Amino acid sequence: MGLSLQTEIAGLKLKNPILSASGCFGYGEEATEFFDINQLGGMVTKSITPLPRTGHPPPKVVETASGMLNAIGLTNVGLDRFIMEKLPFLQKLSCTVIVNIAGSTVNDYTMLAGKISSLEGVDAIEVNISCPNVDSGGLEFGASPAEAAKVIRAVKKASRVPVIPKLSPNVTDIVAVAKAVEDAGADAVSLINTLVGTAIDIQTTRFKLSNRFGGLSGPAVKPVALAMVYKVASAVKIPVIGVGGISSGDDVVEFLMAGAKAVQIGTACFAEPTVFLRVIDELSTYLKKNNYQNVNDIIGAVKDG
Amino acid sequence: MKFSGSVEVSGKTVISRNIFSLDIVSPQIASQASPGQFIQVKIPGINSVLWPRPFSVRKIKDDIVTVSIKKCGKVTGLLYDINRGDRLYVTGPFGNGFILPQMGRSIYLVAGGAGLPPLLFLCESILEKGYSPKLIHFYSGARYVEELFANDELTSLGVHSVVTTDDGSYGIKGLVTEPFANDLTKVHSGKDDLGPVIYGCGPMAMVKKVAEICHGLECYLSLEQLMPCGWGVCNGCAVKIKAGDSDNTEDEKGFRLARVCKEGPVFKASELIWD
Repeated sequence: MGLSLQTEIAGLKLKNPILSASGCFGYGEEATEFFDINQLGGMVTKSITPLPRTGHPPPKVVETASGMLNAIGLTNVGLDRFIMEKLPFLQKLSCTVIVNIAGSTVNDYTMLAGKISSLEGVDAIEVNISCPNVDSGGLEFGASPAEAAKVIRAVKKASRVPVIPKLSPNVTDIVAVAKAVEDAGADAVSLINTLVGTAIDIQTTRFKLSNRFGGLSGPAVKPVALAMVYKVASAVKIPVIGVGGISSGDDVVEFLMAGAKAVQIGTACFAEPTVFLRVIDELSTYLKKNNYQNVNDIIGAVKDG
Repeated sequence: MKFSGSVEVSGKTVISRNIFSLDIVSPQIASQASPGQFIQVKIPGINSVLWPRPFSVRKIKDDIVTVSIKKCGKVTGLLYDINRGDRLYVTGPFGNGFILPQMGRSIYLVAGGAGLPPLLFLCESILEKGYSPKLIHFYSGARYVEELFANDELTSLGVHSVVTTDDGSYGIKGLVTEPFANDLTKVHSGKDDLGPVIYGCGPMAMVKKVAEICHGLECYLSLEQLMPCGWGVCNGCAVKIKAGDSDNTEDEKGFRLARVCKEGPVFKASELIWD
């Protein structure tokens, strides 16, 4: 019997549920130095903003216990150069291509969604309403259900492809935000973005990040992400993409059992660019060992202990 | 293709109480790496430490890649306990290495601490290409004798070599940039048509000093920086460099950011910005 890893998000058929996470995989081309990225279920680009951004000055990252803080500040080439320089590579891919967008105003988001969704080769748009590291936009929209709904409603109108808001864990009630964007027309949700954190150098009495605060990622955030994925998946009808601290096939199984239909891997690919392939192997091994023929059989399978 | 995978440690050399080198078996890295490039090393199973650690390539022999390491923190302490036959997770080689000098120009190599291994690799490479050792001046500094990455290897090259330690426990007492600055003044006032080429690698304060001394001269500096990825995707290792005219960005601040792992680690001294 063949094993099927195929899954579906908002009408997009993924050959397996493993995607790269935004901000950790550049524009895709970088990873081709290591492996054929068409082996992924899909990839998500870093956030594209209307104009190029240099981001925050250094220091931008800090290593923490089982994790890291980043305050990159949405460094990216901007829309025009994205289309000219980065899109041609993405158009040649056979895996699903999701472009992440970020703006400072609702108009930014709708302009980006309108233009990017009409480009050939773009299968879906992930909407970053949860970046903890920028002055305006970002989390400002993601922190309240009403604001999040406003952005997503507008983006949905402008977009020709499925719209996937990326949700912030830095909120009182992530389920309320998820329900609000579902009502606003979101085709799926991805969660979680990073958790706000900081670190202080006690010798110099300075913050370790130029931006003071950064976003925490890595294995340290996995239990938080998993709980939020479970809560959201139990409350909405649209598919949930789980993100946060995933670095093994077992981690993926946990997220799928919590209700995610696919997952994204971010921080783990820094040290191990080929982590995706190992994780796909480990997921297959788990499924075979436990006599599952279809990955969809474990989605939402968690029971009370 | 870059390498990403598990490798075997085929040898370990303890150079001093704090300095050691590891030989790893990787035909893929060995066939590609050039002086100034680095690899990222992670100890499998240590999940509390997320980032790999970057080490410059010290030398290549057949399929063996050697890196020299100073024991200075938790990870390098754990690496010190690695032995022949153990396995490490390694990626690379990464970054732009040193641009090799034109034949016939005087070369000044200035190394501080862990900056020595890549410059030794560079020196050996250009000597192999037939460069005259008489034209090469090598300055190597460390805080104290136990932190010297190499000594015999340096003197056996037949180049002009000067070793300094901050505390005078070996060689000349003082900073490595002092004898270098003295010697360079003499040469600079001489009639060296194309002028000297200077290569520096070491701690930020040291390379900054080299940049000051070499103002107006052709000088390449390799920067030390922790790097979450090493392959250009995280942007964490970015440093400020002078902005070009075409660098219009939404949040322009008079500089642009260059990734030490991708655009570096070797930069022209003239393009760096020192805060």
